[in-house]
Amino acid sequence: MNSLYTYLLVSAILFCLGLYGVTIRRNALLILMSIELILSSANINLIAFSRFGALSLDGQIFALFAMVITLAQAAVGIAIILNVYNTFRTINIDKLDISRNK
Amino acid sequence: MDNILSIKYFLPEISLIVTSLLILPLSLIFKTNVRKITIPFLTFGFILSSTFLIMNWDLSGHGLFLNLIAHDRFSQLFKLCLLIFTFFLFLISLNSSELKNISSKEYHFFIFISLLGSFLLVSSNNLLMIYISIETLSIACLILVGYLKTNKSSNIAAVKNLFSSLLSSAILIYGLSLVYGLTGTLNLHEIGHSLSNSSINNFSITVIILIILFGFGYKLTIVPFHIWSTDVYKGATTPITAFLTTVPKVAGFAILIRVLATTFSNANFTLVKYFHLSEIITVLAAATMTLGNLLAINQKNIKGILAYSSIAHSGFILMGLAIFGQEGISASIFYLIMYSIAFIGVFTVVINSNTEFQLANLKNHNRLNFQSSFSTIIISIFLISLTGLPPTAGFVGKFYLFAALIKGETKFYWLVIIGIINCIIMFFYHARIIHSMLLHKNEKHIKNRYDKVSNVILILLVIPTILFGIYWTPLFDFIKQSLHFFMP
Repeated sequence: MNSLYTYLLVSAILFCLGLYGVTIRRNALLILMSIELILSSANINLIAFSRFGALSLDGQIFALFAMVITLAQAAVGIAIILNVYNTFRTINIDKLDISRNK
Repeated sequence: MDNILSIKYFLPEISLIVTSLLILPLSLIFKTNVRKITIPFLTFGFILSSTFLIMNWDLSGHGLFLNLIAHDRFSQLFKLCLLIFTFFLFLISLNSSELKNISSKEYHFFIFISLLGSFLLVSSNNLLMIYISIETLSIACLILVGYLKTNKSSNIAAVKNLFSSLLSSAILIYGLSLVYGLTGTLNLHEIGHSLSNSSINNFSITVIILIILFGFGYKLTIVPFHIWSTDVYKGATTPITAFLTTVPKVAGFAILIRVLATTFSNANFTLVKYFHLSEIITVLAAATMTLGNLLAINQKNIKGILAYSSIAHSGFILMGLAIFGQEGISASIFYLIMYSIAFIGVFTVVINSNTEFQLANLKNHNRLNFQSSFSTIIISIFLISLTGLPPTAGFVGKFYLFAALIKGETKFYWLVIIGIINCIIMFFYHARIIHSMLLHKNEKHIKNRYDKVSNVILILLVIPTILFGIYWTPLFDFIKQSLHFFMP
């Protein structure tokens, strides 16, 4: 069980779930969460490769940086979504329309 | 080079960081007359950064901070271009009516941060550095697009930009993690080394290259991403659209060129054959320029036309990267610089004419406010340069691109034919803008808001457009000599 392929399989499943979520979800927050899934699948990849593959810590450092940047992205993303909610009173991205009233 | 020694070459970036961090407290201290304090201060920041850049101009390459950042001729050329473009964009945004009534201190802060991100991006030599700088650039752009908090179109553009930019960066980091797994290193040059030595399946590498191109694609607005980027360009306020169509795109192409040159090509800048890179890029280039041009024909307002036109130009720039080699890259860089100059020029005129014009139907001629024949002549010169007619620099750029396609070992005659057809389409919709300006008199007399600064900027932008159309050899040779990449 504790092999590189298990981790790669988990990360591939997470990646596909994330992409699926981005394509079918219409709620802005859920899309944001799906994108976070893709990012964590990449992090799993990086850490697993660093642990099982080449003997360098580069991958784990990359994963740490990626986590911090993901948080920054999520903060900005939620701020933008909140602002959209204040303007349109909805965060369903299909219902965003310039002509729509408050 | 170790950390202490590298600081000397990192001073342009440091001065950008310090200026951007000081601007927020400064604008809080001087609450009255904020503009009188901040504008000279920011100008000083630009001048300081460019002084450090020129003082430490170095013909040999260095790897800064343990080879994370490359300080070579290529990165210095691009840093200088980005600095000048952003300075012009900063000056023209001061005159914008859309940004007039809101507090602009954060706006300048984020302009500086995205300039910092693009500085790091053009000089990054490591996958980690590429990811961090792309994120710095795109997070700043996310906020800039949604800067008008109460404006509905700005809000919609911000959401679209948010999801497309987050998705592309998520997929980019997934691709980068796979590259790391295959090669065991993050350094660009070492990745190329281990890819050429190992016995990894070529098909899987091609798939990974496609994933990474997907990640860069949103910055470069190549074909599957044009849908998202045009909506963002149309929705954002005009000074920010001008910023988005030039600075992130220049930085994105710079990093694409660096990745291709250090990882996927040999010393003569010949792309390695077995990953089908050349074929992928030719198809993308042809699709990008054709789709961008065809969609631009139907656009009714000037921002829409410029948004699609910018995508078509991305296709032209990609054309030179498909052939690669010294000729191809330098033709692409020449074209990229000339495209940015002309685009900044066109947007200067658009920002200075009234706000309604930017969103107005082109046929709705009452609204057009080109009172002075000066601006009509200037915008015509830029549009002629974008179309690629002599005697402007755009013609030279297109000429070198087509020449590079025919000169190389593999000849891309079909791509040249597609490119020429696209030039004709491009001429049609660029001429529509000039036509609507020349033939339709405006009836309303709205006060012309041209000031001296934007006139000077326009003249400064017209000079290279004409000059390099007549005598282009010095610039072209300079670009050719700049193709020097630091490889540890």
